[in-house]
Amino acid sequence: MQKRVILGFTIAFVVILIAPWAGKAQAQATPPSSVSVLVQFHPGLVYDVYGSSPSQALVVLNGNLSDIPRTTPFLITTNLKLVTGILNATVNGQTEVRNLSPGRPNVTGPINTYALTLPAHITRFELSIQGTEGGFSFLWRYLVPAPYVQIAGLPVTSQVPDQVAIPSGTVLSHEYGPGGSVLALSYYLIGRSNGEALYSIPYNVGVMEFQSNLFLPASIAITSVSLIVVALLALNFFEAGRRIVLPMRQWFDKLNLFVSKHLSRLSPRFKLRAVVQPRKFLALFVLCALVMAAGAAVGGPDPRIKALIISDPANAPGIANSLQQVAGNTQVTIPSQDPGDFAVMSSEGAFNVVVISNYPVAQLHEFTSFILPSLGNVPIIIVDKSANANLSIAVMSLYPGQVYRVQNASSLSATEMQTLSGPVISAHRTNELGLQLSVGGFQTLLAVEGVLSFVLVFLGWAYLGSLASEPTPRTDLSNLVRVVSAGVFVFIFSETVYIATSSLLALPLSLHAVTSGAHDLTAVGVIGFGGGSTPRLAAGVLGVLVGLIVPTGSRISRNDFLLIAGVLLVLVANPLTAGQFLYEGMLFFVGPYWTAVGTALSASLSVKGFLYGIGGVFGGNVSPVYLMSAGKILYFAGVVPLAFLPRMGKLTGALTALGVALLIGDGGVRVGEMTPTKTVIAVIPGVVAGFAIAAILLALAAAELYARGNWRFRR
Amino acid sequence: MNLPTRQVQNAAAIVYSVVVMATIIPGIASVSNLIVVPYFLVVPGYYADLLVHRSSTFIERTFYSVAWSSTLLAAMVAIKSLDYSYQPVPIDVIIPSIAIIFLAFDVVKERREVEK
Repeated sequence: MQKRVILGFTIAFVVILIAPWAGKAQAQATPPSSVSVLVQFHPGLVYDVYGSSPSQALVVLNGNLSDIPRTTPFLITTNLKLVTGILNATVNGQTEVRNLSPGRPNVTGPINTYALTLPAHITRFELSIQGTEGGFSFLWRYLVPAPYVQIAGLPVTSQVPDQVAIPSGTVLSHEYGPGGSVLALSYYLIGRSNGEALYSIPYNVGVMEFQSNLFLPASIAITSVSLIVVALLALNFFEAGRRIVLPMRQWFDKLNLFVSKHLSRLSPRFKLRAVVQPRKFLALFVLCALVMAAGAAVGGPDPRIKALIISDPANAPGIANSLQQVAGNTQVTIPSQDPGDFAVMSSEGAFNVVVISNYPVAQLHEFTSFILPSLGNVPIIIVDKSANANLSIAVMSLYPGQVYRVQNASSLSATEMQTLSGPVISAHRTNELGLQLSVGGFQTLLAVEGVLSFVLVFLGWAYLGSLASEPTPRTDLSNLVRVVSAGVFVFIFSETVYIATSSLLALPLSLHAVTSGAHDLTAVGVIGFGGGSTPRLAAGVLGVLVGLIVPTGSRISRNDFLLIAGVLLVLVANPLTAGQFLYEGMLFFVGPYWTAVGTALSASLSVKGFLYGIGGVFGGNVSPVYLMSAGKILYFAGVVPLAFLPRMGKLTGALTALGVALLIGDGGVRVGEMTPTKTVIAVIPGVVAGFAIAAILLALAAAELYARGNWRFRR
Repeated sequence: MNLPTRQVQNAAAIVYSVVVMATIIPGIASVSNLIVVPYFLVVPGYYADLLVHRSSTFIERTFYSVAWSSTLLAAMVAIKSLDYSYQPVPIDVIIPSIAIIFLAFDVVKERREVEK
């Protein structure tokens, strides 16, 4: 027994002695791997009225790896556009520096995924990657998305919060979450160097807003002075202030005189006032529509064969080259440019061929959601062997008469080219009159059609405005019916013209959700407007205001309108809560998609929910066919208050004019969406929502009349 | 319309509103919706029209009654749909209450006009 105890102690003693050595030996065989990630961000601060400026980012990966005899692939998923990479590493015990370019992203869009590879036998490394991020400047403030970087495939043990370098004279004024929610301003100083302060910002920041530190005192001073002047003017206490207003009031008359004088040289009987009336606007609106459709019929369709390539972006150039060999002049589009609008584009004959190849698995949901249901609109579908097997089976089962199987779409064999050549060429539509234009000539036609598409919206919306402001002896009900039916006609007719023209051109005039800045997907893209939403909004707002304010005898007081517009402009430039709300509201209309942030975003989502709620009551969500569009509902909602203008007081009338112009202008953007079923389902909910808006405005009108000492409503 | 007739009409509208509100009580829930539906379709809008508009012809009055009623009903449903978790008061109570408020405002307004 005693021997056993002694033996046990001896073994335990030996184990205690050996164990640390064994552990050390094991640690030497497989050293712990660790990678840290640091992102330093330099915002490209520009304080313009309107503009853009890229920001620079540096992503630094610092790591220790166990010696692996093979390469180490990893992925960087980021909202940055990565440009260059420099790898400083110890490989096979030797220190070396080499370029490690991120190349083209595997998955593109707002979030890009880059595939990179570390060399074999690497033990220590520092990888510095330069990237850029687009920033946006509006009304002397600069907004930019916070950098987002995620690493997969490497043992990331620490990722410190993003570091933002801010030069002196600038403040980080607002932080928003990734979904645009307002965050409490939070950052802390890490250090200062070269006149810049380096701040660490929290992980949950999605968008940052910067401004000059002079902005706050300057805008408060301007706001205070402006509000005092406006108050004195409104109370008639400031006789000298009339000198400020009088020139503004005379501005319209001067403009009228100037235009009439110059145009009367062309036609001695010309008078601008004679044009600015409902029937003239209507005639010009219909004329513009006829010119658009006739131009498209004579000059269309697009002389190029157009193909949608659904593949890894790296393979797209090879496939495009193959199609060029098969059918000559071919324009290719990749789905990342715009999967959402495929249904509209394909139904208008914008694609002759679709090529399905090795599309990234991560994006297959985009294909099945947006592209697969409308694939039957495209005459030729080419599927190669590298396409996802399940996807190929689904496409071949759904559209058996249109599918052509090939081995490799980026390298077609002679037999495959011969087989495809005939069908692809015959799938291309030609001009019915035999008047095919060259590519250059067609681009010119597209530019003209693009401009006319905005003119059409301007004229139609001006007709609507002038109709509402026209003095009329009609009863309330007949005036309401007249204005609402005109509103419905203008929208549906405009959308019809857009659809007809796009079909004749075999290219959409515009699109709703197209990638900003795309030049080759739409006619308005040729003149640099991407999907054309913002200029269409501007044309609509301007049209309604011109129709409401310019005609002689208009019910809208120009002085009151200028007063309200002036107050709003002063508020927009103001950094306080009301000003920030208006500023965020304006960002919706003028900024990139990611500038939809803040309280205005949550308010707009509530309004959208309210409109959808009303749409729901009237059967707007009974099936996927009758999809509701909040924008289209908004347009019809804006039309109804126009009919109540005769019952508004002076100030409420001017406020209604401004508000309705924004509602109709914003809703009217959806003309370019070209989805007539959504229009049909939006009319009744829109009119009902319009009554709700009219009720609020009538309550304001009652308050105004009461304040003016007249409780009785106008009869 | 002379004042006694209006008073009878207002009294009938208040009773009708109370009946509609009472349908939320479990025992009275079996009241036919044939009584409730016309109320939602006409009565609140009728008083809204009197308050903000006062149509002169029968067709106008009918149109605006239905239009304002539909708007009020749809707006209430939409507001409630914004937050499903918050359902404090049923629509059967909200809309008749609003109709009675409209009615009261209209009576006050009319008295002022008579006094003037």
